[in-house]
Amino acid sequence: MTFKKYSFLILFFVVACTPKMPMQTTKTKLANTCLQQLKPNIQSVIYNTQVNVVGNHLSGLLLVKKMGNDTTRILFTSETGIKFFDFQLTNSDFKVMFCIKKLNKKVVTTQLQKVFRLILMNYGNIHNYEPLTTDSLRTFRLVNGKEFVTYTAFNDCSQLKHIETSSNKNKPKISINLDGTKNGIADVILYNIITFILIFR
Amino acid sequence: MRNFLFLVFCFPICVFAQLKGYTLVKDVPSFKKIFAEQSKKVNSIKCDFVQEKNLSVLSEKITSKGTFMFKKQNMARMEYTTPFKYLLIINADKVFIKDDQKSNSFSSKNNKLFENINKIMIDCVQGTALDNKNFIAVISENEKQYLLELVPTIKKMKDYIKKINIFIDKKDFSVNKFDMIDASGDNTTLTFLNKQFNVGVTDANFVGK
Repeated sequence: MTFKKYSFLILFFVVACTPKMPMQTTKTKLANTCLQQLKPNIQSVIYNTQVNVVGNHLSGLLLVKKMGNDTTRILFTSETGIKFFDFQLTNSDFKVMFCIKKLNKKVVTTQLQKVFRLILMNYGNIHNYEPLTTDSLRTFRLVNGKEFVTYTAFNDCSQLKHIETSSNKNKPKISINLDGTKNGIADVILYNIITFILIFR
Repeated sequence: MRNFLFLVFCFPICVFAQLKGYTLVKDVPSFKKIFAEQSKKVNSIKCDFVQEKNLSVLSEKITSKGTFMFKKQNMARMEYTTPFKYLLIINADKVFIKDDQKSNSFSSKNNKLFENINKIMIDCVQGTALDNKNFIAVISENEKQYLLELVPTIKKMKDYIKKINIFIDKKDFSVNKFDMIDASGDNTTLTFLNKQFNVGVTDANFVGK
């Protein structure tokens, strides 16, 4: 609960202080509320997970567990019990508690950190956002440093459908599809870049 | 990467936790002899298993269940049924893996490490684990069980496994439980239940489909 309030305060602060921000109209207030509704409320959840990385296929169990305050632990083990990695994520920090040597490369852990932050909607400093709405979907484009983060959800804010980052508005860098809900988070998560595919069910 | 895959998927078959109340076995040669003799009587094993993954970060355990089969000489099948479906078959030097999404088969023959791991796995069931030079073994006992504590000596294994404890039933010298302690100190326990020896296991059970 503290986590959710903290994130709301960040958004609100940005809205109030950044020159390019739209004014707090009824529409933008609704957008803020919607983002808060979509934010995963996880205590502990286990996903059956498949990973395709550089032509190799791995599978196992991914555990996401809230440890208190803003700390979340994310662990991935094989079905047979071998632990692949154990990450600790806070609003401002990322720690590799354990990672097997094959995966313990900066490029891999940084990418995974980014993906988990996006899924947990723990996106750091946001300087701008613009709500875009269609008949069935509602999209929010957040400006995070030099990149855009786009969240797409059902119009009633009941379920997050897609997350995407891009360095400009036309070139997606990370694309994550989500479906259903499970313990306050999507039931199925598909993260796909050219050499790295993660599927959580 | 293949070494890695093989280790990840196959090694835990011969896995298992250390308990107090055990005293060192003094006559190791006699134990080895009886262990090997008893194991010779077993051509196949069929049983259920319960796997418990203890993670330091979790207050609860991750429990999964399934069936295990072994057939001489080098065939093993581990099928997880709850809470997910996952199949691992080892047939001599061939390895077959099937999960929710896809199946994959590869050979363990082209690599020394594969051969070593394959050997350890079979040794665990065939009663010759003490002869494996890639582990330092300590044998102790209590009233009901022997405990084999195996510490890997090969660096590649040490990266993943700190220690394996194997609990052996004194009645029939079959494996009751494996406890594998991984490099981070978390452990995975496999308990074998409803063991059936030399019944209902055929070569067809070790063909990946």
